[in-house]
Amino acid sequence: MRVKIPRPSRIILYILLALFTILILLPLWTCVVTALKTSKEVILTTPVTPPLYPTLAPLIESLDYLKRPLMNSLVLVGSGVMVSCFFGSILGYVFSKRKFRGSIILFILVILCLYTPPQVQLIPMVRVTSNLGLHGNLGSLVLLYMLFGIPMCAFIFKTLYDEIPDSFINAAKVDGAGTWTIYRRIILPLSVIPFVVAALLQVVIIWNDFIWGLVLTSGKANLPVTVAMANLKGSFVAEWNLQMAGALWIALPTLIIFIFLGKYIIRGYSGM
Amino acid sequence: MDPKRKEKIITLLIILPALVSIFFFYYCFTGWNFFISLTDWKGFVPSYNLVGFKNYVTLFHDSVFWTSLKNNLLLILIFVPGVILVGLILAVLLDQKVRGESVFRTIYLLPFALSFVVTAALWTWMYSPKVGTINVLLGKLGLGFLKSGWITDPNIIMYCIIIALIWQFVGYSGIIFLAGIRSIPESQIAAAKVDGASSFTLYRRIVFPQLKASFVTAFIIFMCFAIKAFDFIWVLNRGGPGYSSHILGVAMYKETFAFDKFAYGAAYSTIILLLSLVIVVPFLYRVYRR
Amino acid sequence: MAGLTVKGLTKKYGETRAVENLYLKVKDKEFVVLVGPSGCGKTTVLNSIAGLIEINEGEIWFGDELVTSPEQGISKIPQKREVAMVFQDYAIYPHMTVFGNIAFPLEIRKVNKHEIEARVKKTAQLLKIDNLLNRKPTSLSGGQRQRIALGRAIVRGPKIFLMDEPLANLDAKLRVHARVELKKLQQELGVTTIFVTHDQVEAMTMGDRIAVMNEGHLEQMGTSTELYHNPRSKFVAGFIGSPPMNMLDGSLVEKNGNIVIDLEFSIYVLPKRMKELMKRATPSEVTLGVRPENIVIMKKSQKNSFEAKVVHIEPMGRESNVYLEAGGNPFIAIRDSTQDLKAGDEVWLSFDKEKIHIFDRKSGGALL
Repeated sequence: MRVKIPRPSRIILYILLALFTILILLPLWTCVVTALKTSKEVILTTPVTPPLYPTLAPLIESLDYLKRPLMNSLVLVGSGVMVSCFFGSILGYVFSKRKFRGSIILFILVILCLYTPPQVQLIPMVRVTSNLGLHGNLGSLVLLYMLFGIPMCAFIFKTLYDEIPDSFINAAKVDGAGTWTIYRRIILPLSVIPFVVAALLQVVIIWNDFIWGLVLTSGKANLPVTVAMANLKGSFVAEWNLQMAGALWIALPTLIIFIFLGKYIIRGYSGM
Repeated sequence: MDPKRKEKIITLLIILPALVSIFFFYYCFTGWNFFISLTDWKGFVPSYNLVGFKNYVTLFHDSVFWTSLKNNLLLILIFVPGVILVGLILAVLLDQKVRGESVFRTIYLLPFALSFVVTAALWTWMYSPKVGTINVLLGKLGLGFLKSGWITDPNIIMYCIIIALIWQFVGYSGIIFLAGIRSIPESQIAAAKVDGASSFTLYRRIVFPQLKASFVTAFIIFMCFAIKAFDFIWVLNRGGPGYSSHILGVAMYKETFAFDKFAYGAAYSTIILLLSLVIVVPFLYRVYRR
Repeated sequence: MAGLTVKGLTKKYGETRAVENLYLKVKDKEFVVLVGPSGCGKTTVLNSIAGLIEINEGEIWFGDELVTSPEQGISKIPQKREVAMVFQDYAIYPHMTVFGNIAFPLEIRKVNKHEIEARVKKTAQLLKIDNLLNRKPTSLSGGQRQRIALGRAIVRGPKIFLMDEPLANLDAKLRVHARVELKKLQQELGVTTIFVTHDQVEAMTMGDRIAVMNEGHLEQMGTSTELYHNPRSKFVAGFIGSPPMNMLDGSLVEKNGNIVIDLEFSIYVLPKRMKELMKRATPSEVTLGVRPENIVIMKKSQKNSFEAKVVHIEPMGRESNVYLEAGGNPFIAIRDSTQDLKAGDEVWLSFDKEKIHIFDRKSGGALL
């Protein structure tokens, strides 16, 4: 925002920015145009030329393939986001405004969870879900995503609650409010933005997640959309238009979130 | 009851359900995974024997393990500096009072919105030797001699993967650095300019030295990713051709779920965890020292 | 209504002592100001009284009710103490209306709806903010927010008011006005009040009595007149009054049957009645203090005076501050008329001998 490079270099600056824009958009562009072509046109035209005879057939066919998984992923997002945001908010409140001896240690242990690779939990989780009779079906993923997002939500809420002045809490204490009343009457009403930030981030993470669905679910009726897409890619190897159309369906929701609600997403990722 | 104790108990009660769940899921499972790695447990047969560190010994004599580790190192040594460098360049470019800055920012961040499954599909198409975007475009541009087998060539597949991953993460990296640059007080920049600093000097002497926190953040995030990565490579071509793009995450998945060698897979997981901890623990220690 | 007694309060943060062995007795309905430079521990004392922090040693009494005593394991939580507090940033909840903010402490205590309405209205009228009750606080001015914070404190009818720099965020003109209003309000309500500030003018004008704190201990407590005319330490003498008291280091010696202070560049002969000082003052290292208005500027030499040079004159309207220099020491004097003076003039200074202060240079304690 501040430093202006002298004139001629302004042109170079915009050329560079445009070049980056082209490089970033190229794969997305070929994805969109290919998804609108018939199989014949995919072979006859280059991957970057717009379709001469646009068709919705690949989109419809891939949607048919992904219909059930899309619904499954919606269920996962719905259940996972609500639970992890609720618990994350309470943890964030306590870690930010109700510190006690040892609370900082607990908080660091929660943060450490953010950085543990999922590979260490895969095998025990398979064991637990099969003991619960959930292995292979969607229930295992519902359970997983409820737990999985709590550390990240706790971190986001803690960071954003740190911006609420401590005097709010002290004033409420002196006015006679206890732990739970302060949460319900002061913190929760001021949490609209933290909830939006945490929820959007969880939506994106759960929607895009792959490895857990791959390991915990089986049978077409139970797959989340990313796993179904990987299968589609494996089954329709040379049918690029179908593959790109499938990819487009999965990409659409998160692209829309990033384009229209990007500022909240960025707030969630900043400082992590 | 004493009201002070009551408040303390309420505080503990409201955090307990969440804490117990995540400690069970993250910490107990991690311990359990380590325990499994000390057995000869094979998949869904419940019986097993404790075998000590035998799995680790096997691991260190397994050429797939060393190939995978080498590929993770490649990610660490090329992907991590690459994404940081390009991100920094983007941030500096965007910091020049660019018209339509928010549009550029949004565009650069778009790949980061996508699932690895989607980006793997996109890049399979980009790299496809016969009809794929890159080779076709090279042909059209008269650069046919640059055509290549890309991800079908075991010698360059890791570099193809690294380029695709940089494409996906560069916007995120740029945002981290742009936020860092913007947090430097306006007055410092103005003062440096009044003192006669050129743009180059300004960045080198005033801006970059104050981006230490951004560098550390970006480094930790991308290092952790480079160690635990799995999705993109698995969907791209299952770590192939042959073992050429195996990384620890891929090898772990295959050993466990394709070959049902759960205990051996758990040993892989433990190695991935240890590598992550080597990066993260010093970082957290520094941030929360007090 | 009740007085407040603090006995031997000590608060440590790690190894550092924020407050050490502090005694404070506040009478019923009294307005006491805690004043001192930042970091002197005044806010720690206030928070201890509110119960927001736990103390290491000492007792706090509200009237005859013991509310804090770590020795006896007593530490009432804030919501069980009948105190109301006004914070420097007002702590006004942005998601509630003005009415909601003032009503909050009553709602928490489950007062019935009609009574809440009546009491909030009455309070708002008292503070002249009854026309704002349905507004959201984000759109209000600093002065209005300060009144809302005050309203929230008053509405409960607490035993004690605690105020943490409640005027610091107002602009200068409004602050002077708010001082008068707040003081009037406190007298009407007759509630014991502890008011914390770092501004000595605010302290002097508002407090029935003022407690001056420095580095975690109480330096002196008294009315503004007492503090101004009889400071018991060098710190209080320097902190209270503006422009500050002139301080000159010197040593007590006997000369020709007189007691004099050797100031190196000159000597100052003390009045006869101060003879006994020689016996009391075991250390001869002292500091001589003179308030600016007690410096007499003369055109020619007189008994017990010394030469000085006018450096700068600062006209303040009614009077002027005269900056002088003598023997390498800066002086400030206040004079009604300075028409006969200009920078660079050579003048003679002497002190009003009834109004000088002498302090032990090491301990800082007053010797006179």
